[in-house]
Amino acid sequence: MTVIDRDHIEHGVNHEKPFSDVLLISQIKEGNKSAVTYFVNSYRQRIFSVVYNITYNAEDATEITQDVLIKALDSICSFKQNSSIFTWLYRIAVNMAISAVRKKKRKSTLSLNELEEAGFSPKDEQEISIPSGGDRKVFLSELQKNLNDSLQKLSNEHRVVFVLFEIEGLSHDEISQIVGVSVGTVRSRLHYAKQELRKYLHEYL
Amino acid sequence: MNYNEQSKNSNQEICDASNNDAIISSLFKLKAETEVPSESFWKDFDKKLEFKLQQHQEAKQRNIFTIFKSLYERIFDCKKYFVHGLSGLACCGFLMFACSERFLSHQEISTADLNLVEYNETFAMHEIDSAQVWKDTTLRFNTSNSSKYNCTYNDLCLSKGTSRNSEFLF
Repeated sequence: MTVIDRDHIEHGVNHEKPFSDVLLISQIKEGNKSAVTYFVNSYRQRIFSVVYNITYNAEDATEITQDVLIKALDSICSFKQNSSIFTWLYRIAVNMAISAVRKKKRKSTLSLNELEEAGFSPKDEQEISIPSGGDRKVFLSELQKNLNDSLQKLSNEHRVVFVLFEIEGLSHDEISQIVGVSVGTVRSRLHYAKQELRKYLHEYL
Repeated sequence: MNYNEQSKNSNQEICDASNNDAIISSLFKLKAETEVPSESFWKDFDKKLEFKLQQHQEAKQRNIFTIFKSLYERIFDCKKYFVHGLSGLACCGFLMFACSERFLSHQEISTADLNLVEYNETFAMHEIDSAQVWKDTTLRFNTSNSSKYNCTYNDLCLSKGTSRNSEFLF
């Protein structure tokens, strides 16, 4: 049985998945190494992205993403399949990231240079017009810093909902399942997050 | 300001807010696109993850064996005093204890069979049904010891203030 990968649908390319969720779980339980590798490769990027945007620290995000994957592999036997693996993983990732932020209660800023040193590479596609040449790097660096700083000014609840909706592109319903609040609360948190961000990012508006 | 002006202003504010939200969305999309980890980042990530996974498995294994060993010793001590020839009971008791204390999951319990009689620094791992273990435990005790102690296994548990918990064994 093959299932179309959600990632690939979103990017307009249809690739067939070698494992459905059910098959993937049963193969991991049986200790199939390629299933484990497939699992890690399929979800690490998305988990990292959400964790990074909550913690705003590349090093912490790397550690937490690894811990999320280990925890998920460890407890996959108890995964009841009431939701998709994807929702379940997001839930673990959000909880672990929030708990790390609470523990640390510190902010760490990363410049574009630091991001590149940490292994981040800018892509070329952009949806809004940005300067070219040498100015581009400066613009992106400042933009990233300002956006990340603004995100960190939001409460954990507002930040999580905003990141899942705007950056991860999840629906209100999916966010409601991940965060464990009603769709109405998701909408309300999103509204307040945007309202606050408009204040912090007025120079771009 | 009359109603029409108020309404016009309010519509303008809504329109501005909506435009601003669209710009904010684009900015964050751009941020997400420019913060994509490189191939070398993931290579390093996978290497560290593999190491962490291995460490995690080893620690888990070590933890289980340490618990098994220390509990075995406690079982053995108690056994000497009042449960003659009840290695099977002690074994089952341990499993029930482990289960009730939740330091081993049902899944782990079900794959761990301690053969305490042939204990030899290592533990034989066989499939075991924990519900069956409890039944066997009660049955074995009741068959071989009821007359000796003039009570049942459950009585013993209750006399120690525990039920379906083999704490008295330890």
